Amino acid sequence: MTAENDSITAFVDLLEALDRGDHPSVDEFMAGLDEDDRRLFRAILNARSELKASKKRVLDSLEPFLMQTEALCESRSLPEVLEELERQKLDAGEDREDLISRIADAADVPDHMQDKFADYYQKLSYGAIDPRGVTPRLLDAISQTMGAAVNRLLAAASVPFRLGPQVEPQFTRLEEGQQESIPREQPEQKEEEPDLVDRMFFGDLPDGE
Amino acid sequence: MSDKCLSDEEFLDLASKEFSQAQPNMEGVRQGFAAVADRITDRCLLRCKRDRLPDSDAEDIAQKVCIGVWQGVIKNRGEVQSVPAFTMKILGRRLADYFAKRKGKEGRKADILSSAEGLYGTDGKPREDIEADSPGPVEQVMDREDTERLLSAVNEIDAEDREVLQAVLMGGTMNEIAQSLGIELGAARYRLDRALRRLSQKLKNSR
Repeated sequence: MTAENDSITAFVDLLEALDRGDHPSVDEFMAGLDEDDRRLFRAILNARSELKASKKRVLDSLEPFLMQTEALCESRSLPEVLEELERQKLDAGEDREDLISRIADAADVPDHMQDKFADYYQKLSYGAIDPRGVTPRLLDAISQTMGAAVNRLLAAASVPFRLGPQVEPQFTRLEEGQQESIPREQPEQKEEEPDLVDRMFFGDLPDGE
Repeated sequence: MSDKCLSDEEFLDLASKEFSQAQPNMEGVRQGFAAVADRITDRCLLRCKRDRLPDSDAEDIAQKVCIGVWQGVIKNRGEVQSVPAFTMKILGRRLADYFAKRKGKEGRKADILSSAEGLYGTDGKPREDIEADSPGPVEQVMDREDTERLLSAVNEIDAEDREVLQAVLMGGTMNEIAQSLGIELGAARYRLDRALRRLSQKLKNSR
């Protein structure tokens, strides 16, 4: 391809006019050029138009993925968050049993169910209960008592396992049956219907979990 | 996202500073990433285009690379050594995966030709709903080949010329190019003029 000096200068003028939105006639400009110049300039305009459109699509689609990645990278599982929150409270001189009792009170758990609540809470805090089943009511109570943002607890509850550095969270989908091997606690097997505390810890788990 | 255009180094400084806080301002860091993502997208799309990837695949890879860099920034608490180097590392891996999944050279050639096949109906006859002055299949393939030749040539010229040509190809206006290169508008125009002249000569010599 060859391009005379004046045609290159004219092409730079054309690019500037296009950028200004002057709508110059590209066809008219191209008509005055020899074949080589026309092919070079048309290739530039084609590539520019395609790349500009592609770039816009990529950048427009990016923000939700960035937020999702951020949430996944920052999220930790609920047992880890509870451990951190408890440590802060214990360091401040608070008593663990008293903390659990206050969480139960905040969740309006009747006195006669408080022992069961404490048992389930202990299991939740060391990972024996799937945090995805925990109800917002319980998370609210933990949030109030521990002074943690409820959104942080919600995020932690829905990310049961800490992501390893090699994992690409935004595109990784676990295969069926791959999710975990740790045996999980189930509501106590009884003849009667699940009670308030059962529902509080296992209420949101889908069937079969 | 923020209008403030941070350089890669300014962004890494910002991220590092925020991550050293107990409560980092993640929204601020994410907004600062906008300018970085813009440049990452440029690099990825130009490279993918040069490698003849279809637009949708190129966009998919560019998006994944942006997310990969962002993920690296978060996991390393802003302590990424170099955004361009990290970008090229992830891009290289993504492209290797991509080509490993593709059928090879013949497959890429078939993709180029298949773009022209869209001008024909299922009966094998030219589609009548296409405007008469639209480029025909041969012209379309020629245009595409010219574009690919152009991008290969741009990649092979001096870094200074390549910088300004790539900025034009990515849709940058002369004012934006001058701003990003930190030079006067007249100087940007001169550099583009000179780069086009050299590119034209290079293409002429390669024929």
